[in-house]
Amino acid sequence: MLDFKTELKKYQPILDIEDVEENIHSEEIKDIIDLLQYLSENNKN
Amino acid sequence: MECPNCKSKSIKGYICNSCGVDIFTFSKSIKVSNLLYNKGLEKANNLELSFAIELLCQSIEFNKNNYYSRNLLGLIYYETGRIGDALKQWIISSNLVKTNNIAMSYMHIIQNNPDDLYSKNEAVVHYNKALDCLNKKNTDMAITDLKKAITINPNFLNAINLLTFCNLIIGNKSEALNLITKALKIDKNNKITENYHLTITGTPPKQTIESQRQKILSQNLTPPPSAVEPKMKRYSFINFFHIISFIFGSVIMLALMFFFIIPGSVSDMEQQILHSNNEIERISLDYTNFRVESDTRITELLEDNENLYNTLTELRLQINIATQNDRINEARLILAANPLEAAELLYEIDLSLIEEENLEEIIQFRDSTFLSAASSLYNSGLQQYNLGNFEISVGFFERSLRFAEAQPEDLVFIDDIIYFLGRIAQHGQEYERAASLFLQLITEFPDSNVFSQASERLHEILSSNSEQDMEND
Repeated sequence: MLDFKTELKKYQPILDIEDVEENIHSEEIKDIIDLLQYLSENNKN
Repeated sequence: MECPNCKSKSIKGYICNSCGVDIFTFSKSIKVSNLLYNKGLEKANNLELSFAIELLCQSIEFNKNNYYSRNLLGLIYYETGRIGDALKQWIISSNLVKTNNIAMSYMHIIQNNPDDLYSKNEAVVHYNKALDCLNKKNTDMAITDLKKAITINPNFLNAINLLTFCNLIIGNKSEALNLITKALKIDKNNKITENYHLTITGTPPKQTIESQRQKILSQNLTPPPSAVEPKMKRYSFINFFHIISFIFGSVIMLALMFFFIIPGSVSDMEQQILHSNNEIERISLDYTNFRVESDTRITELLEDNENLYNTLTELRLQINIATQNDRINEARLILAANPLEAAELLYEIDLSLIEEENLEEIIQFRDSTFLSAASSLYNSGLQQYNLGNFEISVGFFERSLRFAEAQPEDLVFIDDIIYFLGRIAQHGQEYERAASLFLQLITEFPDSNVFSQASERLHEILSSNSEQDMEND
């Protein structure tokens, strides 16, 4: 049997095209390379 | 060798002297990102779009500048109706690489078809509304919005899955199955869709079974043997055997309990009983000892009490003796001056308290004092009687009688006292008292000198009473 609340949590609102620009600016994607750079800068200091 | 990050050639070991980055790890990250992109591409070609999205997202996490991953991810989002996410990826990709980037052409196409873009966005709006309605448990409104979204964009996978879910809620399984089929055509092996299929039918969708079978075959594994229904007889034999085994096991269990567990329990209980009995005995013994001690103590206390009482009695006796001796001595002292008072003092003494050796002397002293006092009082009473002061004379006569009672044989005027008291009573019309006194005199003093007078007075009283009785009648 499906649990309503549990199942519903799998669905999230989809990005509207009007919110794309705002979403890009607010997002700060960090990948592993950024992490490595951060670590290297810390080592230098 | 140049640094993949800053393109510097100043490298020491694996560390770039210019930017300080670990070149080995850096290069690995990029390789992994590319590998994930390739896998994502493979999945996308196989229409396993959910897996492809996962892999491409991971690729971006390893290298956010991997615009290939972003372009493909955007494409998949566009295909499945997630317009905003698609645009986002393409915009970022085009910012990363401005030339020879397919993302630019995608965006051109979209910009050249604004109706298509806005209609697909409207589908997104309907979807978001439907989600909002479902959060408020308004399933009907949600279904309406989702149907609109799917009508606008038939490949809107999220909307199809959500509509499937709504149909499951309202119990419309046939419609749900239709939607599941539709979704699986767009995205094979979508986990949410498969889950819904499993919920309705109890089995995963055919596509999943097919792909699993292909996986097994591709790994050169032998397929599992098909299940064969056992024959009824064999099933019955196994059941009977199990029953026998159960019974046998039960018997062994009971035997083990009887020989090992129960004796142990019984032994424990016996120990407890023994301990309890010992405790009871101890308590009984303690109680007995306590009783004995208490009785002994009570006896001792009673003895002490008795001793104290005896001592107190002795002391009281000694006090009384001392008091009596004081009285006697005082009586001796005042006898000459006040014989009446001396007699009063001696009247109070208790002869039993007098020592044996002194008793006779004290008795003689008392008697002589009483005699003297009685005589004195008689004379005073007679004097007052002759004066007609009967009340005063009564007092003297009665006091005299008191002392006279101690030694009546020595006092010759007792009969006179009784006679005079009788006369006074007669005079005061106390005939009963008078008669009583005259009768006493006649009875106790037959040789009295006032015998005849007493008899006459008594006769008078009795006669007057009988006359009065006759008058009353």
